Amino acid sequence: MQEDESTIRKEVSNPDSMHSKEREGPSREQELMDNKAEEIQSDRIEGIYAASLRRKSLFVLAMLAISIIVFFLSLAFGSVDIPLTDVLRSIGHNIFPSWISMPEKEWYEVIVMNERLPRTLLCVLTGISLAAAGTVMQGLLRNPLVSPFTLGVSTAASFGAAITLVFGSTLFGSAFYLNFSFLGLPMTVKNILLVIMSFVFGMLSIIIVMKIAKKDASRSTLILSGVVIGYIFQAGISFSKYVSDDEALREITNWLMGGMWNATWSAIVILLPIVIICVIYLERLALDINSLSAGDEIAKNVGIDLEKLRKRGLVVSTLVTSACIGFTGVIGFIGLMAPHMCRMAIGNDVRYVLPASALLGSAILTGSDIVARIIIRPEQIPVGIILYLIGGLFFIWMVTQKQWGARL
Amino acid sequence: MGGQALKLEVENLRQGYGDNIVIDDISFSAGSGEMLSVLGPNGCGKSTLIKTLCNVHKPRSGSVFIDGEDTLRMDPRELAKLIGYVPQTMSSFGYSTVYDLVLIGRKPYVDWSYSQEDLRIAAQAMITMKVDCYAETDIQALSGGQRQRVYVARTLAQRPEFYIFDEPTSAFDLRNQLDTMRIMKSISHEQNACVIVALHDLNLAIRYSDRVLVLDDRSIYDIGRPEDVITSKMIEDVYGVTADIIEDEHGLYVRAFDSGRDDVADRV
Amino acid sequence: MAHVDKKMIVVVLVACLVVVVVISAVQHMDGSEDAADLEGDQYTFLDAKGVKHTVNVPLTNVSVVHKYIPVFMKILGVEEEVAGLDSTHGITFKDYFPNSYSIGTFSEPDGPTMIKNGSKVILTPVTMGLSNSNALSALGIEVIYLDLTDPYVIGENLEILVNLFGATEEVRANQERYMEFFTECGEFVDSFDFDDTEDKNFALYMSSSGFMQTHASAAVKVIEEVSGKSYTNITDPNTKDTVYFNPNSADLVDFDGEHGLDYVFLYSLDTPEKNYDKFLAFGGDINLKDLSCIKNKQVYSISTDCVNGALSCISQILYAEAYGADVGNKAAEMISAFNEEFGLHYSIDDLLVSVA
Repeated sequence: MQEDESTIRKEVSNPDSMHSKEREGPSREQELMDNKAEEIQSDRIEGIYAASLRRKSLFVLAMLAISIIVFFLSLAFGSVDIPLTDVLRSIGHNIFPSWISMPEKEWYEVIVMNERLPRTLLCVLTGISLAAAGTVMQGLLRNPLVSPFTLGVSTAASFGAAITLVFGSTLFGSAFYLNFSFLGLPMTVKNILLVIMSFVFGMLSIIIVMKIAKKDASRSTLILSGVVIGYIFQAGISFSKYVSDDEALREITNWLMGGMWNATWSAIVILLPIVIICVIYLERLALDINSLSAGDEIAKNVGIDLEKLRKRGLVVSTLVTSACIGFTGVIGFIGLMAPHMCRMAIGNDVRYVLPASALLGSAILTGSDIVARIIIRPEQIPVGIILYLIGGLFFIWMVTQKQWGARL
Repeated sequence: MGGQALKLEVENLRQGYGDNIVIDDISFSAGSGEMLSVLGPNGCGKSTLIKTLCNVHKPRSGSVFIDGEDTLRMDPRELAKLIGYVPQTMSSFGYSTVYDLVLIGRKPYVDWSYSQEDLRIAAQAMITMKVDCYAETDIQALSGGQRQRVYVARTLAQRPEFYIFDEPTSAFDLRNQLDTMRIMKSISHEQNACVIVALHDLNLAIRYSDRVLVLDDRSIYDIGRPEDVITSKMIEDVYGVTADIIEDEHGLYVRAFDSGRDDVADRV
Repeated sequence: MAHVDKKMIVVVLVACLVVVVVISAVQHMDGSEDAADLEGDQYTFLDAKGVKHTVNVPLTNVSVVHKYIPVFMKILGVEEEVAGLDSTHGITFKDYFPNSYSIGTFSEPDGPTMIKNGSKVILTPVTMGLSNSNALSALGIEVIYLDLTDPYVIGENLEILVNLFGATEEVRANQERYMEFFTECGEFVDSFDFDDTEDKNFALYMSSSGFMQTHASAAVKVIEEVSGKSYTNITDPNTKDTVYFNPNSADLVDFDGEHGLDYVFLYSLDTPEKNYDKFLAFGGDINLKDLSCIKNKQVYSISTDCVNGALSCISQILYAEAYGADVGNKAAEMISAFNEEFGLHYSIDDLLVSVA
């Protein structure tokens, strides 16, 4: 604290002292009083900042609460409704079979553990990935309209998954359908290939977009290139339907409208570590991304390696999104809506916006999936449709906001 | 930070964009505790020189040394603790508060999160630049002049040895212009930092600088004390304007006359 | 600083919890597969897709998708055991099956609805069946593929179905009655001489999708027994793997000029008139009315009820009639007998209609 006080004295530019050469130096008392006043002022400001941090943390916790609630709703509701206590019992009975008894009806447990839980987990993981990637992309490119979907990454990744499904058995023969066990967990060759191929094409699209953006860095160009690339891969997906046999065709018929049909435990087993590691990595970049908000030049000035930061951030974002999209097909707008809504609430600090939007994203996607399963039960509509609808409306609302000129 | 006596040496600096060479073979030095103004008409390369000094762009050839070390070879974080840059044009990405922006200046000193001291230093910087009342305000809601003060505050929070400003007062009103110049002067003297500032207002340069560097046609026209360098001849040669240097009880000032000369109009 | 670190801890804890749940769920799954019931008789067989099954028979509480299999459930007299029906095709049989309910689309029947009602087996055709067998299997549902669509394999698949219901006396008797009916149609048609139609060419066109069927298709083969060759049998005789192809109306006209396109059969879920209109519209700029088949008024709309499946034997009689055999009232008689015998309600009208 001693050191602080002396630095304060050096730091402060006391206007009176420099005013003119005629005046004598200020009296010692005056100086002490000014310093004290400044200290109080400084404390006050820091207090305001601390309060805003508390507010941001509370927001994140609120998002956590919402996503947990939606999580359990998703386990309980669907074509068949299961009471909440039985849902908890089903899960509890699995982890602690000796302490928690089976739920009332045996089939509750079958449905919850074999269908609802993996499906809900897929929604959660995909929602988290898309929203986290969206936050990072928007921060790195300083463009509120970018997201995995609007940059064409989601569509490209889906294309990679589509051709894996169509040509997988031709290229790999029966090995393609091989199931095996890894550390006691189920894995399939097909799932591993899905993740790899979707990542390859996701990366391809992001590299193309970046190359185009280098030539013309305006914000609209970035979005336009992303949209066009999205269309190109969309065409690719539609084309692959023509060359696929019946078996594969049925898997990719709805690929452009994303859904949770592939929610198996072997998929969750692969995605869980990928999502956890990538999201933690992205959170570590948060402070660096914050520094980008004042512009490239200032970021460079405070010692940030822009090239490296952008590369790492975009690669990891693409990895985590592609991995999930490889299982679900195209799901759009989560990466656009969640970060934007959180930023409206708590500002630009990526350290808080990232987790908040990840949780909000998971809540939105899981919630949409509940609707998709209930609205015409026992039939389902693909979740992607619901997201196109609410995402599209949100996008229109976003663009027509008055402050848009400045923010765009 | 502050208190060290460091020297910034520029040797044979050459910079350009594409085929255009904007500054050619520039060499000079500046040291702690002094305020050096960079003058010259628009397009003479002031901004380019500033940006190259700050490592925003790598020079075509030549080097910048601080205390004998080549800045190009330095670890960016170490360099960040040495050089602070206040750009002329600012951009921001939606929903940032003033405090967040000023805290960016502490980035070279933090790893994962800000310490209490970082927050304090940032707060003091905001008080100094009189933007503390806007601490939690969205940056987009401020006027151009207020925003520029925020950016100066950010550099103050960074506590570098060398402050490099690119026309910081262009958007300010009279009061703020004087306040900012005063602050820059006090930074250089009280913190013993070196302040290099590109200016277009000759009078501010005379009044506040310890030394002045004049750029003309891609090279240095002259460098030295303001009273030695800012002469009618210099103003005539470099700016194409006829002016008198007048001295009164408060110091020197420049009085310029309407030139009416056509042959120098093209240079601007 | 404290806030951020605390968050990290929460995140890590939640992640650990999720990982624990996942692993335990997965272990649980492996475990439950071992505990199989071994009561009652067991039947081991390969289904129409080559998948091996071992099930306890007779089956009870069985769900089914599409319409080709439910017909046979009624024929065999096991109406009580039919549980889930798909909402598009199967549901039309709802009145025959007192315990039935909807389980969603035929491509993605809803596993949880089945599980809730205790149905653990689902029967599906090989083509036009369900596509979510992985999801259903994960719930412990047995997915059995049966091809009761292709008339050339109905016999062997019916045998499997009979065994699935325990091959009781009653079920066997019903099977025999059906096979008699089936062979009677075949033998009736065989009694005719089709020498003069050997050079007649035809095409089978699906009006709603715009596809045509190749000579690898069972429906086409049935027609080839009374007629000459089908379109692809002439243009591309090497055996095709696919049943459907995308035709070109210009190619059709060329084919007509070179070989003669004498007969065209259309089918879709629409009315015969609409079928014909769609066929003409398929021509696009080309006026298909110049085709020989239209000039000779040999364009027929055939109902999906008899193109495949249980009534495919009836279609043989109808084709014979179209190719000039004097079948009299046989088709109508057979349909009546069929309806009475098995308690169904098919109509003779619109089974095969001349539309040109």
